[in-house]
Amino acid sequence: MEHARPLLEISGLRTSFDTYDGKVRAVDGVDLAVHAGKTLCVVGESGCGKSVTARSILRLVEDPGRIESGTIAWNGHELDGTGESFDILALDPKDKRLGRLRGGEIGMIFQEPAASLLPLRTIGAQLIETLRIHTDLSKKAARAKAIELLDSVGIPDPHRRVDAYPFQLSGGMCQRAMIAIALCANPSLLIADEPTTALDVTTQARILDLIRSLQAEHGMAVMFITHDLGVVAELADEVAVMYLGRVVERAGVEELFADPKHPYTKALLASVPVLGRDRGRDLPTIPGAVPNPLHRPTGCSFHPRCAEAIAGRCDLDDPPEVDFGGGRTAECVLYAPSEDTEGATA
Amino acid sequence: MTEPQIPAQRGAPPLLEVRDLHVRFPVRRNLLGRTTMENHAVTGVDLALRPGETLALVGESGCGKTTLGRTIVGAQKATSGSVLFDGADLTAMNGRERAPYRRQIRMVFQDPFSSLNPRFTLRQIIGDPLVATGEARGSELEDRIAEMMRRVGLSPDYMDRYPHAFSGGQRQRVNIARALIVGPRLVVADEPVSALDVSVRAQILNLLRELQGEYGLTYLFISHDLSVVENLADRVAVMYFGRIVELADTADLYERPRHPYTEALMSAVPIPDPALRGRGGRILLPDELPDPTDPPPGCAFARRCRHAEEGRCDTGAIALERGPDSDAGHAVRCVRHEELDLQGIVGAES
Repeated sequence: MEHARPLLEISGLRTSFDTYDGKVRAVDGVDLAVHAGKTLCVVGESGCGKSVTARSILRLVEDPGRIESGTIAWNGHELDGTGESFDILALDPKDKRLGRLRGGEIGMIFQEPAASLLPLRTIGAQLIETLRIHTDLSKKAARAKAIELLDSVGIPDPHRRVDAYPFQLSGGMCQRAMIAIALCANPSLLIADEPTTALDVTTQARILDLIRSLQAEHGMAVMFITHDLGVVAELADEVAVMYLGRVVERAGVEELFADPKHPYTKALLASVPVLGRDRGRDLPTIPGAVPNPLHRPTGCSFHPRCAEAIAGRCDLDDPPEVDFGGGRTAECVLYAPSEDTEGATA
Repeated sequence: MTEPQIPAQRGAPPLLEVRDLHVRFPVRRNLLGRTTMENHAVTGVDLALRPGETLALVGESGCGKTTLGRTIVGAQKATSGSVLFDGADLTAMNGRERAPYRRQIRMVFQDPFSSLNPRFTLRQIIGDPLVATGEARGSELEDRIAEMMRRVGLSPDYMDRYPHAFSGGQRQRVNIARALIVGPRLVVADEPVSALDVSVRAQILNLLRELQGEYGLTYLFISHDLSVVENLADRVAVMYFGRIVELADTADLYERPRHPYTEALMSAVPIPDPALRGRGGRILLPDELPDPTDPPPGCAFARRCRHAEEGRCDTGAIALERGPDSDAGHAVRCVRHEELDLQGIVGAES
């Protein structure tokens, strides 16, 4: 997976928010790569910076948020031979390439489908607008295409539903409409930020199924943000685990579940009840709660909750990023190649 | 695999009994103020909770599980039917008669952020039920609040802080402390861990289990999350469209579901194991939900059910029947349940 150039390459991304209480470093040095046609799942709990990372890609971070540093290389054009790669963060806000990325080459869907659709315009109007921006279809052709798109995302009776307002559709239907809008311009990357969290499981199953089949059909890459490890296991090729603004572990999906390296990943996997495994028994827990990002612990951010933390080390030094090869990394001192580390298992 | 412990007394008279409960909400009224259209939220629910057990109510949004929970605690009026606590009919009581039961049946809510008054300190929030009844004051009040806080894993040093200073998990502990401080026997917990971070969920589930053992509590646990329910519940009632469609012991239900809706629901849960990807035959349900103001005849699930048969499933009332092979009180509301061989959870064959 690492031989080809990734479609999207984030390096050293830092995004922070200035608040009255101080600067919140929501994303604090994130490196991520999404490969063409593959699915990267970014998993983490509230405040880990997964959504801010996604928004940073499209430069959708709003005041008082600010992208401080880093690069986000978009290699879409180089990969399909239509142009050169560029750094999204270096683009002028008025650069046409940014407009083409947003909703064009990169589609995005959000957690609250009903909240991300305009309430006073029909589904069709919103689809047609996006289509007209990113393609040169006529109004009539765009409407036909809109109906076709609604049909392809599994909205029954698309001829009628194209004129429906968001409030007339259920949550699952709205999310399908959002997906249709995101797919308008045949994007090479779909960013999905917790798209199924607000939905029922049966609806979630159908949306995941839809994303999978659309991906197979169009060969697009997917960056899927979630807190649900079940969804990760279903969907991912590669996984990045985030905690308090940093990627703490990166691995292929099978390796991550079979052999998690970072103590946070291990604890997270153990603490989630699994059907058929945890009936009636006490669950292993992670002590404490995710700290407020304003008061980030020193050293490794996870050390106050970590069962394997080494006093005098994890609380003082930033953990090293250990590379296991094959795209696997973990940011943890336990695997650092140094003789004074006890308990190293790498 | 460890067998779940069921401390609940099987033969004991039920602590709570719900009989043929209906809750309907008026949607439209005519000029004379008479209701012309109603939303059927809960339709003919029968349920009995044994002392000391955890009965989970599962189902998707809009199935009526929250309305049922709210009706049991008295936050919602029943249209017809009765709710009996310890043999006394709560639905027939006026406010004054009901008062002593308010401390016996307590509720824990889903959202730890909106369910605590931001202007009250933890002392006020947790102690309020004791103050309101005049049961304790002064140093006794303080002692009892401190004791309760310790029991749910909060330091009594935080007593004079406000909710905003606490994380979701801690706030849910406050919610639990507030519910338990008056010594209830039944706790209705409506999605108590759904809004929490994954790493905190396990803490609260373990705490609920621990407190149940310690205080001999009976739980009605309302949730849409089948994994969480399997972890905590002794028995599970599956609701669909205002009705209980299946009710069984947890192991029985998860391994041998008898209602096609239960089967579909289970197959939809993502399993956190990539090795099982694609296994287990996911059943994708069409979106067609019936109109709650005009329930269809027969089985409400029939239009989405892959096993539905015309002429059998879409006519007449379908009763909640006991399954043939089960003495554990496995009940199911499906005309075809004896013919169908349904799939339980993946990996449960062991």
